[in-house]
Amino acid sequence: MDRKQAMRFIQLFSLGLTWSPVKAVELVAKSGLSPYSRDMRRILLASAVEGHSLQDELNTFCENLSYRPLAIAVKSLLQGASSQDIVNTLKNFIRTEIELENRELDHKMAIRLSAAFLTMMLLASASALGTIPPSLLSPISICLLMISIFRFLVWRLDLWKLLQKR
Amino acid sequence: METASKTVIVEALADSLQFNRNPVVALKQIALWNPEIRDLIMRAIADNETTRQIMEELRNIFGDYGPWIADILTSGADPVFIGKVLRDTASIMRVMDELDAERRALLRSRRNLTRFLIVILGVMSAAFSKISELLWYMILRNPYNSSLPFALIGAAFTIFMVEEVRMSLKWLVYYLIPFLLMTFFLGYLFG
Repeated sequence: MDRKQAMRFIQLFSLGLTWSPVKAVELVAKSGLSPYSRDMRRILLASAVEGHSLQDELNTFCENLSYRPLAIAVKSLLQGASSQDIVNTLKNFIRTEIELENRELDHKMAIRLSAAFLTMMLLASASALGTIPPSLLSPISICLLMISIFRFLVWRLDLWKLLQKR
Repeated sequence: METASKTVIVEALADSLQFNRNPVVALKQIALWNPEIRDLIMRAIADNETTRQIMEELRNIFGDYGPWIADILTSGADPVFIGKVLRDTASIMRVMDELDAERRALLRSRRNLTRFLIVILGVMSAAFSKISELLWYMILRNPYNSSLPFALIGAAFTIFMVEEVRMSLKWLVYYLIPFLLMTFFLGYLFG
């Protein structure tokens, strides 16, 4: 689940909801926000062509969402009586997401630092105890560096593609 | 243009629409609020452009909200209702600006923390390389220079961390400087 996409989805949905639920669905459908825009296009088609109720379709969409906080936020947005409720729901959801995003980042950093510490400790002790020859340290380190550079390049390429698309 | 003034302009647009009930007149009035958009709107009105065309020109100024505001203004709905929607849009814009600023501040603090962790990683790599050299010398009675492999392992994990906080490889400097300093210091200490 991409947190940024979820935040953008809620932002657009709230924006459209200040007009009407149909407009909210339309706005997300037009945004090209995958995978939500595809779902919203399907909902629009189901309500406009097949004559299903938009509310029912949105409820089904919420039930099928794997990320429960997003489903709850959409449901409470749909139940929101006034524009103030919409703004409050949007604010609460995004604030929680920002906190979770930061916590996630903290965990990832802690894991990476611990992994670095563990790797170095294992390699130093294994080579000192004779489990691996010291000459094996260089290929292992080069391998690790290659993997990290490859991952970095893949990430930069994805970023570049995203910017090109925009 | 500042994001705050973007919100103020949308609110002004809602106000003038409630009085004038005409999107083009409302756009003309909000043009007075900002010199940057004044030229655009005046030129567009002089060329007899429609509201949608004017909004297309303003798209860059309103950013993500441009198409939405254009949609509202050209919907042909009751201007009072449009004014209400614009006011709600302005509230959402304000909340989003506030949350964006919060997110940026938190990310900045996480980046500072990461920078600090990378410095620690540099010190740690240097310490491990020198400790392993010492161990090899004590156990195997054979000197072996391990600075480069440990430097590369540290650099690999630094890149993993840099990638996570969406920064460039320039951040390797935060790793290399403490690594080199610590290596020289420990080298001098152990001989």
